[in-house]
Amino acid sequence: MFPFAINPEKAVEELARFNQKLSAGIKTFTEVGPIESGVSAKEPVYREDKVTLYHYTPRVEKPHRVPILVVYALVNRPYMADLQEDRSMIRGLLDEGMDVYLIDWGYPDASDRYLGLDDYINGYIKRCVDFIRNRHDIYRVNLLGICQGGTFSICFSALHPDRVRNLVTMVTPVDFHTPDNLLSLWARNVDIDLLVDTMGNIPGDMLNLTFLSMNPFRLTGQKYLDMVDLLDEPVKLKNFLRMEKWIFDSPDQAGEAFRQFLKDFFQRNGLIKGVVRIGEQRVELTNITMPVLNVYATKDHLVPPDASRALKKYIGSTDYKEVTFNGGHIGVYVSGRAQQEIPPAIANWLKERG
Amino acid sequence: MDNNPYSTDWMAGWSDLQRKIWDDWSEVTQGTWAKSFPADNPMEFFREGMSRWQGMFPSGQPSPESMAMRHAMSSMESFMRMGREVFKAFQNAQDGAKPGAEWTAQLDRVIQGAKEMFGKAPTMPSWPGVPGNTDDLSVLWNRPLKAWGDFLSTNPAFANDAMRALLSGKSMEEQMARFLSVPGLGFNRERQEKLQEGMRLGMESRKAFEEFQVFMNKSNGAALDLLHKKLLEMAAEGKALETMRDLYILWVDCSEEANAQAVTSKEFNDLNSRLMNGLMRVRRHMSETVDNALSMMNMPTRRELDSAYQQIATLKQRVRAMEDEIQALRNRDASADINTLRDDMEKLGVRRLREEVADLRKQFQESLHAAPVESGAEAASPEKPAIKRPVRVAGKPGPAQKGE
Repeated sequence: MFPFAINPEKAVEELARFNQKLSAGIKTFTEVGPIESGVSAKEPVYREDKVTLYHYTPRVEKPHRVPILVVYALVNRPYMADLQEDRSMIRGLLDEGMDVYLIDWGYPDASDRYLGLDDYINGYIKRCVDFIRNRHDIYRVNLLGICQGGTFSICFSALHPDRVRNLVTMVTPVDFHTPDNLLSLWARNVDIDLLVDTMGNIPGDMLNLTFLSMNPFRLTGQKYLDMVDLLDEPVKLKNFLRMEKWIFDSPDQAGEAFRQFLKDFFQRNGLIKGVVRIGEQRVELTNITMPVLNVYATKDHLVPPDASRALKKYIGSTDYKEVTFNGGHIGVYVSGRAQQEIPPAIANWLKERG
Repeated sequence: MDNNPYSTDWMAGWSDLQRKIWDDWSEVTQGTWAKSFPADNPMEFFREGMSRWQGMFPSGQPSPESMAMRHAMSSMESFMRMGREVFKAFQNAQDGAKPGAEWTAQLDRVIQGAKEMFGKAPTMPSWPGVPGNTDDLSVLWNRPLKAWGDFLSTNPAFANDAMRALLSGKSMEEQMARFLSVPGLGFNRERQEKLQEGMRLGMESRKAFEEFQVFMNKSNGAALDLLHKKLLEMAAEGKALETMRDLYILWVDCSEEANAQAVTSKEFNDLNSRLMNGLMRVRRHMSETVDNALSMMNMPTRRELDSAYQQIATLKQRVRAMEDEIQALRNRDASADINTLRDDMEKLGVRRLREEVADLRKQFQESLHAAPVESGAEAASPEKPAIKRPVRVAGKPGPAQKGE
């Protein structure tokens, strides 16, 4: 049987219809208005250089007594965790009675190129944690690290276990050399010293293109054809554009931090080998003796599940639990199902541990 | 099913479609679409459309709306191009087919024809001023690569004419080969050698790009093979593609599958890193050249700025280390105060008092159990003594004071 039931008339009609939709979409585009993101009420409580620590307004009368500090990745902006009212992990945590803080790393510029991982982990994160400890008059806080922020949180917990009560990691790479880790494979032979010495800070667009290259035809082509179907639905179009804004809102990466992260973690796989040094100290995962909740996504193409699950094998904690989300790296914060599953799972686990 | 469905004069239909779209858009843009319909190259319409679209959004930083629309226009261009090429390919196949030829043979010819397209000499991505291969089907596959080209052309770190010149043009390559063979001599020897080094790096980078492109073309060929295979499978199962969109999605699936296989190979990894490292070497060489020129004019150089930033970073680290030390000393003071208070409390016999209170509480509890309950639960239940948290000394937080 001939596998094309598309005759010329039908095809012309289809393409004409498609084009009409596209041209009619102009009106929707011009009416869509500003694309807001980061919807939950918050106030800045601590600032240092370009870093801001935000405190979200609790949504219950008596929030959980141990606050949770969200540490996001340096890549992309943290409002992904609070994208819109019905797609917000932060809001979910607040509704579950959590008291939530978040570190916004800001947009590094050329003057930040010598910021290293020591500055980020023993500097900014530590001072944010200490600020919260003092503010709430407590010894230890709960840490929730997302993606690269999860790796930072792991390092912090190993270096300062006396300051972390419970550690939650989300889609966090730990073993960087699992066979399905494409980013790691690509980074393996790149001369990182040459790259950083040449570029200084690494442009966010360069990382974006790297991520897009993992599914180039779908992400640079098909996605936008699919968008045409949304053009007569302003709310859906706005949601699409909000996500689009986030994807391309990529801060440049401070050169030295990028150099160390790529070389020590991606190339040497140093975290699980115990050879990563942050400042003067070696990161020993066996120091992580506090309870650990590890959330990973089964269809994560950026951080494959095995890269996250490796955490269990290397830490010293006996209280370890995994939460499996059936979805991808982004879906774990923004999909409708994630809103139902992830914040309650995290909040309940934390409440059980006081 | 009719094995020969492309018997109508589809080209006329296609042209009518383009004209109709052109009219629609003229109406939408309220007459600002002054250019006449490009009958000789209808695909020009989409390029024109994109620039029109960009003009409709405020200039300056691209907004999510304008970027999304630009991508949508670009994707639609691909979609329309695919439609045109598919019809053209089948028309050609039909024209060349002998009477009674099977559609499978036609399909073979179409796929082979498309694969030959990837056998052409690789072209650089269409950077401004550098002509690219813009009007054949290969543009569809090269879109991801073009994204890198756009990045390089718009990023200040790469966008300059000298770099583009280094990376493009065969004739330039020949001129450079001659130039590189000239030995340095006299006063300008050092400058000449630096220039030659830059040229050499540029040629290496160009070569790396060409090798990368050849590899990706192979992957594109593999995608076509996969498409071919899937179409034959569909036919065997009695299935058929109903819409152009179905065909486009099948093509995307095949391309992604082939791409996934390619990019996980060692060969890709080597070529990709060679391409990246080559570009960086060129960029670094140019940066050094610019720095030397600036230095001669007594203007601040990148090197000097970096050195200043590094010194600031080191100073900041030292200041913070000192702040931490001061804080630690303050905490130690607070600990000492607390220990003194504890000693004083011991001297006051607080422990003995606590023991007495505990005894009294115990006696009270026992008496409650012994006596009958009169009325009301409140009267009978002992109140739990409130735990008073220690008062925190402002500016002197210390572990001994914390309640968690």
